[in-house]
Amino acid sequence: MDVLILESTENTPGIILDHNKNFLEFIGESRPEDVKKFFTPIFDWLDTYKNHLYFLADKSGSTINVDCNFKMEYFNSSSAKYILDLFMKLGEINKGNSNVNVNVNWHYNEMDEDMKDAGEEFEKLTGLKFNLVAFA
Amino acid sequence: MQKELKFISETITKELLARTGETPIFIYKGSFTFNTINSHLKELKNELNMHVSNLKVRKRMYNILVECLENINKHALRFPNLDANVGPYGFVMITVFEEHTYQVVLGNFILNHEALNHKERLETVNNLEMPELKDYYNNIISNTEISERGGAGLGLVDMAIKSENKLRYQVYEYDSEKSLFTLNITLNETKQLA
Repeated sequence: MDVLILESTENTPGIILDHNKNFLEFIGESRPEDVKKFFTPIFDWLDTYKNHLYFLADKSGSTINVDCNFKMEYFNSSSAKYILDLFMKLGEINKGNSNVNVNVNWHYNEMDEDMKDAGEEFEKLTGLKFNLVAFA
Repeated sequence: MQKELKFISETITKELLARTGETPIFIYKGSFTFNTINSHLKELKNELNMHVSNLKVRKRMYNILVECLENINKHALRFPNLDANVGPYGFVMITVFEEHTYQVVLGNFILNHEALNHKERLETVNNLEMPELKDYYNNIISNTEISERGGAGLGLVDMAIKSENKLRYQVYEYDSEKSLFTLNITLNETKQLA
């Protein structure tokens, strides 16, 4: 599988999906013209990654920590739906293998209580443990 | 489309007349393509950065504007005689009352028989108080699929949550088939920071 890197634009987030480092990152604004078209390759990558982790965890036997950093400035309501689905997928990965720990770091501006609330709601809806990180 | 644009202009005038003491700070009428939306949002983001100092209020205002503009682009009536590259016709207007209350008004054409459905959806949202609205939002986001038009059905609920006010609407009949449906979202800075 390949590392997936998408540069940010004025209406799409910057994304790094790196299976070598077990590192996933989403930064910026999300209001794509075609939300389905934008998110489909990300879900395809996660499906492949889920299989990759399954074999990797089996082979190594040790715990694999997957670090997911979200530092979203803004996302529209249709992106919110896809972000929730993305966390559901990460939840499946977390639950599906006892040797895999998915760590979600939800970064928000300390003045932006809506972004903090969004992280708390996603945590509640998905059952994943979120680390809420305020920045100044 | 000249007749439709003239009707939009007349509606904007009526809406402005109903807003004594409010100053219009942004008005756009015409076609809503994704590129139009992008360029207006860039301009509006700069305006908000200059004029609204509180981050929470600024982001909520931006949030409402994105949902409004996308709502017209995705869901408004497309006239069959228009070029495929031209978006649906409508308008967005922002007015300010005494520097602390913003009104965002959007208008777009709908088929007359769709008006009842629009009203019912808005009444459902307006009949919910904040905790119920948040539950309603969570219920939709957890159970809905993205529509062919790219919407999740969350826009109106999101606007009601972010504005902390009821969504007001009006139907201006254009002809026997179509009407201009307007939606008015109020955001009061003092209330938001209370």
